[in-house]
Amino acid sequence: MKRVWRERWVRWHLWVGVVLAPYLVVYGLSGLLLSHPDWVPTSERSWERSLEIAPGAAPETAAAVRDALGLAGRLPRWKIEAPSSEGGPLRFRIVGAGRFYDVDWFAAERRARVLEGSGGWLGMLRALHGLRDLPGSRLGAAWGVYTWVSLAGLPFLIVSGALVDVARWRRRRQVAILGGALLAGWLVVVLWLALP
Amino acid sequence: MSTRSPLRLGSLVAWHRAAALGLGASLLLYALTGWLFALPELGDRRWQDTEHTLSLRDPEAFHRDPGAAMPELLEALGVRARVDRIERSSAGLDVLARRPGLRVELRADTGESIVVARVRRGGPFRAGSALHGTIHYRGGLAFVLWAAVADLSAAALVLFAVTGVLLAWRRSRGLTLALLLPTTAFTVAVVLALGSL
Repeated sequence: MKRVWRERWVRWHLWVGVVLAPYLVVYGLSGLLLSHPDWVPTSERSWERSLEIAPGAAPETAAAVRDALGLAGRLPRWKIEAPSSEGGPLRFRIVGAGRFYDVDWFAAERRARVLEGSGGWLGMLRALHGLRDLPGSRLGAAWGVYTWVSLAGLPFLIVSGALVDVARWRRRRQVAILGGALLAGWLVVVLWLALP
Repeated sequence: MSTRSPLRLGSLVAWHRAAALGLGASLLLYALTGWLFALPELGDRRWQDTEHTLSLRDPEAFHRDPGAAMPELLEALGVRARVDRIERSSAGLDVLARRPGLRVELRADTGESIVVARVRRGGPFRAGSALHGTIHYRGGLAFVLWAAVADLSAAALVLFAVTGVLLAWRRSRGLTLALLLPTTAFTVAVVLALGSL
């Protein structure tokens, strides 16, 4: 590679890498937390709040209750139970970043009872791994954009870094052999796991 | 910086390359399994089921501690899998054992000395997709090695990012700060905001 092109690749590699660096650090740390669930402590607590919500269909009411409670998270449809004919509560789960909320909404009493399960700060950090959206939170949506940019940028960093070092790889065959051996070893593990 | 410092240019470049080397190879594997995970229409994912009936040598022992007896039963079925779930009811026991692309569902009725096993094979595409989420340190050596690869990749990613920033810092402190501060501030804001919800 000509010197001027090498210099350009180095520059792009470095400056794109600097922009993505905070995400990559979070991605690496949250990846470690994903494979070690016992590192994340969990706790539960209950609380109640009075709310004025106009009654409607179950999914829309659940979203309105979530917003009125000031919470953020997905509302899995299979976790929404419409009120029974005897006048029971609307039940649903909010899946937030590293925490969940099991909500009972008593329409007649205008009251929400919430059981909150939390993995604390570590649970939240783990939830940032590949997080693409968090309904009810603009910051969560913005993090989703950063996720897409970073995951698209990471292969660029790998490829541009390899291109910068092409000449060096040729000189240092042992590095290329080590890389090939690593990849081959991991492929053996994959086949070992996946094949009958 | 002294020439012996681990932060000297040669050391930084070496660490950065070492991290990228580890990351590059594992990234290929994670990207491949990630694509299989994200595109379920890719490849044949249908389960191929077979049913088997096995006799229990010691039914009482099996019902008392099914986890201990499972390796022998799985060997009799000719499959490798880890026990994921054991459910007891008054009617009997349900055991689920899994490996990426394979499910073994066992049913043992109370008082019976036989076990009915359904072995479901999902093929290489389903297996590849399932590998993406197989990151737990349990279920045998292959699972442990795969989880170790995931951990090494995660640690390499952090090392790659930090050494990269240090290399950029040596080149231009002003530009590094200008690019790093906004994204770091944004990341800290997200962590603080979501952590305090």
